Amino acid sequence: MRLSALKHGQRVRIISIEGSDALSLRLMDLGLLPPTQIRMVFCAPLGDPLVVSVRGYTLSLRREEAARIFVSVEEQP
Amino acid sequence: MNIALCGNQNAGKTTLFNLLTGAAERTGNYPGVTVAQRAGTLLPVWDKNAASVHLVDLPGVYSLTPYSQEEAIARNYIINTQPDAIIQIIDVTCPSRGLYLTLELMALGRPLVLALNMTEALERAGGALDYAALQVWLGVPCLPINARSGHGVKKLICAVLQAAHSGIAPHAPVPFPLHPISSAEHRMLAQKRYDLIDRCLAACLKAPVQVPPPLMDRLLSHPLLAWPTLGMMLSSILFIAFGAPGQMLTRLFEGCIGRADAQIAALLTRFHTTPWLMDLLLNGAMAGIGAVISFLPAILLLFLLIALMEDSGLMARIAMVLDAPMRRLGLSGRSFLPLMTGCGCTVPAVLAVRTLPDERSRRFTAMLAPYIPCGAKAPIYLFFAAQIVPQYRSMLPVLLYLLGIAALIGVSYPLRRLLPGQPAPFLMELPAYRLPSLRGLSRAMRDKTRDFLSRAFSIVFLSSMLLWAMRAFTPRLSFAADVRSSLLYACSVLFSPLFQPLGFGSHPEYIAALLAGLFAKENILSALSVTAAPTLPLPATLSFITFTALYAPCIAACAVMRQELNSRGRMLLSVVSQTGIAWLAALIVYRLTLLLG
Repeated sequence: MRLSALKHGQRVRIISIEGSDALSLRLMDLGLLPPTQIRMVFCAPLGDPLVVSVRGYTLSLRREEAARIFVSVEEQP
Repeated sequence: MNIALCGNQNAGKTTLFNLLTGAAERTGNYPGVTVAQRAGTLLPVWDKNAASVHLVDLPGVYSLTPYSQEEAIARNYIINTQPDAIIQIIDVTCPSRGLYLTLELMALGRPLVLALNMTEALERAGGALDYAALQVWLGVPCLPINARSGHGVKKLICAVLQAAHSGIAPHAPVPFPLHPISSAEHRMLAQKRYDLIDRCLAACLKAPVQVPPPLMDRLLSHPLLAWPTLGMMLSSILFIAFGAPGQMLTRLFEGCIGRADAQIAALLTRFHTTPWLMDLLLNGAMAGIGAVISFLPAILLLFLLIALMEDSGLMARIAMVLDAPMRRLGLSGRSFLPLMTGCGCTVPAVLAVRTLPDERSRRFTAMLAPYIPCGAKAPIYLFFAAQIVPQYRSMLPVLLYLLGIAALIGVSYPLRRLLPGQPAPFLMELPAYRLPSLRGLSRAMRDKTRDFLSRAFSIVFLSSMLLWAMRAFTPRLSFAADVRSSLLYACSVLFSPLFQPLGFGSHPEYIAALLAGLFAKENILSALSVTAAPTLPLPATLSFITFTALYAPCIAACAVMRQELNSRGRMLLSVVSQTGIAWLAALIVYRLTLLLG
């Protein structure tokens, strides 16, 4: 699934990032590379942008941008 | 010796820079671009040869692959000037992103030292970092510091100077090609760096325990509660600065200035000063400066609150909440920071557009920022509010801010035609909530006070004297019996047809104040005070305030707009259309209040 479909509190792992423009490169620089874990913390009141926790910091990004990140759902322990 | 200070945003870079150099001096621009470079000399307390150590504070960056204009500057500075050593400050509460930059910096062939900041915060969160092991892993000196208290900084400087003297660059495990590379290569290198970081941190770091988001985040992300929370936060800023607290401070300050005024008047009488000179000093210079300075506490309060919001991490969250509504205007939530800065002063607001990643949003934001009423206009609102609606005096400033925002929203529609394209992507780190440091806040307040006073005693002082003279003399340079025979009147007649429809065209004092306001908005109030402007009827007063709230920004703001828009034509178009909108709005307000009686 895509990161943009992430639900509240859900924990996923990155599989791949689409695109080769500046934004995709920036996402990679920020550490959004497979197989990094991502957890959705909350989202803005209008449902967009998302706020995720990745590599120990909190990142905010729009669903539109999150859609280029493919993830797989982690088994909940 | 030349040392560059580098690091992610929010890692404490500026705090460390201020600690090392004392005061930040502004020494010109980076070559090729007009971004102010913060540089300074090391304080003698840190080393005996400190005077020869020159420090440069590079803009905060995540990576050396340029994404924003500021990142390109940081990268080019290191490559072109080849500093003797680089200090990288890392926030250890999220080390992996900091270490990504470390691996890039290691490949640039300059000696590197890591300053590990916020170690206490990591320990408080239940984490721990093995500094010695990290140093062995990276082959770069790693020193824990506390940029706020200065703990560990002496050792850091010692290590930096040693590294600079040795001139030995670290061995880079992953290369950083300076020539453009394909995105596949970029992906591979990024993957390599993060693989290395993951292995390194697995050995050195005990990760902190994850905590649920704090109450403020839960409020700001709530679909219903977010809006009242946000509204309360922003209106409380306006209330504190313009409501009872700000007004109390202003009255207190006014009292002091009144006493000083009386003292000077007594002194001048004792020395039998000639009447015209006394008039010049008291009603020209003193009245002009006093009218502005009495509002210093209120303006400082406004600046303090904005700085508090930024330093605490709230600003980034508000930008996140407002991203969706701002996208409708063709902006990104990232533009919120420049616009909020505009409540203080338009100049830093326009300069703050450099943090935006693309040309279009930089231009868009720079053209909209002047619509947010700046802090220098606040005294005018307070002055007129006390005059016309004493019982609701804090309401008028709020209304005028809303007017500014309404104009901004209105202008964004045609502007989107002019600057077609998509709003910039919103990719923003939400920094952990942090208690702003007293030292940082007091420094910001001190700088602002200095800036304000120097403007009051230079530009406001000069234009007050000039306006006094224009009011006191006739065009033939004899004393003017009344306003109608003065030079001021003769000059303002040229402009009066323009302002006749707005209701104050026949009052030269008001026209002169608007012209003086083009040089600095502080001038408006002092000009009215110096020329002893008569009180206007209510409709004309309201139309004057409306015009003042919206018309052209001061020349300092125009100059930075020209710089950021990269064209005189675009700047003029923006300024002229803003004045046109101000004129229309003032006309509507005037006509409406006349109709309603």
